[in-house]
Amino acid sequence: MEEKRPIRVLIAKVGCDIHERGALTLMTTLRDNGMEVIYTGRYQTPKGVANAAVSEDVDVVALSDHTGSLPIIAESVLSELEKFGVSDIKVVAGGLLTPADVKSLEDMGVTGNYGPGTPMEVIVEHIRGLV
Amino acid sequence: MARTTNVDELIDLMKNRDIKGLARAISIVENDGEGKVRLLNEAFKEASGTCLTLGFTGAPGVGKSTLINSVIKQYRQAGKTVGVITVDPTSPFSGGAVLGDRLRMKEHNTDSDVYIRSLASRKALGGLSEATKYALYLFKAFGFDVIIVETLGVGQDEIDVAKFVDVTALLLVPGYGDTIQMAKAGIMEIADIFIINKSDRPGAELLKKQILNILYMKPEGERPPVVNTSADRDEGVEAVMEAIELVRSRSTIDGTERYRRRIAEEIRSSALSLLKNKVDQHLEQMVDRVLTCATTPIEAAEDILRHLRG
Ligand SMILES: Nc1nc2c(ncn2[C@@H]2O[C@H](COP(=O)(O)OP(=O)(O)O)[C@@H](O)[C@H]2O)c(=O)[nH]1
Ligand SMILES: [Mg+2]
Repeated sequence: MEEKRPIRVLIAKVGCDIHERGALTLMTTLRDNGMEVIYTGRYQTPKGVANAAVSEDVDVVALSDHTGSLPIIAESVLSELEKFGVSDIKVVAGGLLTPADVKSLEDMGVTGNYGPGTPMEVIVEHIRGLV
Repeated sequence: MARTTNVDELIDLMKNRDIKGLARAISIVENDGEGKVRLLNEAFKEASGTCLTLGFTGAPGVGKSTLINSVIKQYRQAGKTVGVITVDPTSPFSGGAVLGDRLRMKEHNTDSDVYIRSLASRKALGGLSEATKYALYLFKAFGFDVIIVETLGVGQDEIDVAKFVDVTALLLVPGYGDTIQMAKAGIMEIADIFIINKSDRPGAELLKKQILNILYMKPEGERPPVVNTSADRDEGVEAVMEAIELVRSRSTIDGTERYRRRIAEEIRSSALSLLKNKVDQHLEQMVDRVLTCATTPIEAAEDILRHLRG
């Protein structure tokens, strides 16, 4: 029997992206929808994100980036998660994305992949559906 | 590896110092999952008796997380492993929570000898102090040299947490109508150390004088140290470390007695929490009986207790 608990989400920013608004809005939205949210802050390394995700035993890591580097970020975070020996933590992404980015993210198993302006309800429902 | 809930597997992972095991175990215990009692029993047997447990409490925004970040740095420089439990409030409206303490400690995210876990103060399961007490068992079994607990200094729960740690530090900040902060019943009494953070702000010296004035009543050998810090610029942290060592050196004198008292407190709080759950199971039925004049609240209470014995 798996215990019942609120969905736990780590919102993560890797690298030198200064844009924080999307991450902060998502944070309060998820809280208002009954989730427990942890934010890594900016300028994190992929290893730091993976370590925080494993430590906090989250269900989902939400990557936010506006520098056009999401595929590279996601790939390195996934590989760090693998080093920790976890593969059950779901990874979602959002921010600046080209159609080619979306394709390569989906090939890695990263879902969501929302562009700017996506309604928050869509993201909330997506995360609920994953867990 | 898929998320395991197998207790033996989790215990093995923890023995191998794999944080996955600790992280999962905490979730199970926090959520009353299957295997909780066995996990806690194993953890109690494995627990390291030599680790130092510290509590930092105080109102929201006084700088607890910032100061803990600096304290972690000090212990890491001394080669110690550190585990941190932070508690943030659950939103009473949505049941969700923003767990923001980790953000202030992010420089330790890549250090494998620092483990930070954020808990939400969900009231459902025996309250914050129960969850924290159980998380402490698991942290001790994992064998950190130092374990730090951050709690909001606002209610009875937080005062209870102080019973489960070796040293409790209370953070205050200048310019807050000082005496009102301090008079908060029960909190002054539990503090082993007083920390005046944001001492870069006006009023820090005045606040220190006021605290010393109150503490003057205690015998000198038991008087809690009062330390000024500016946590966001790492100032005064060495003095905090010295204060911790001072309090520690005092408490080893009656170390066994302290330990006895703590175990008593742990048993009492666990028993009361179990009892509360049982009482709650009979509550609705008894309310109905009182409302139909079949019994009185006083008799109902005695009835419930009789039920429990059977
Ligand atoms: N001026 C000043 N600000 C500080 C100091 N320590 C922390 N802060 C700031 O106070 C705010 C709250 O700090 P935080 O550690 O999150 O407080 P907590 O809620 O008690 O954990 C943050 O913006 C910190 O940067 C200090 O010594 N002086
Ligand atoms: Mg804090």
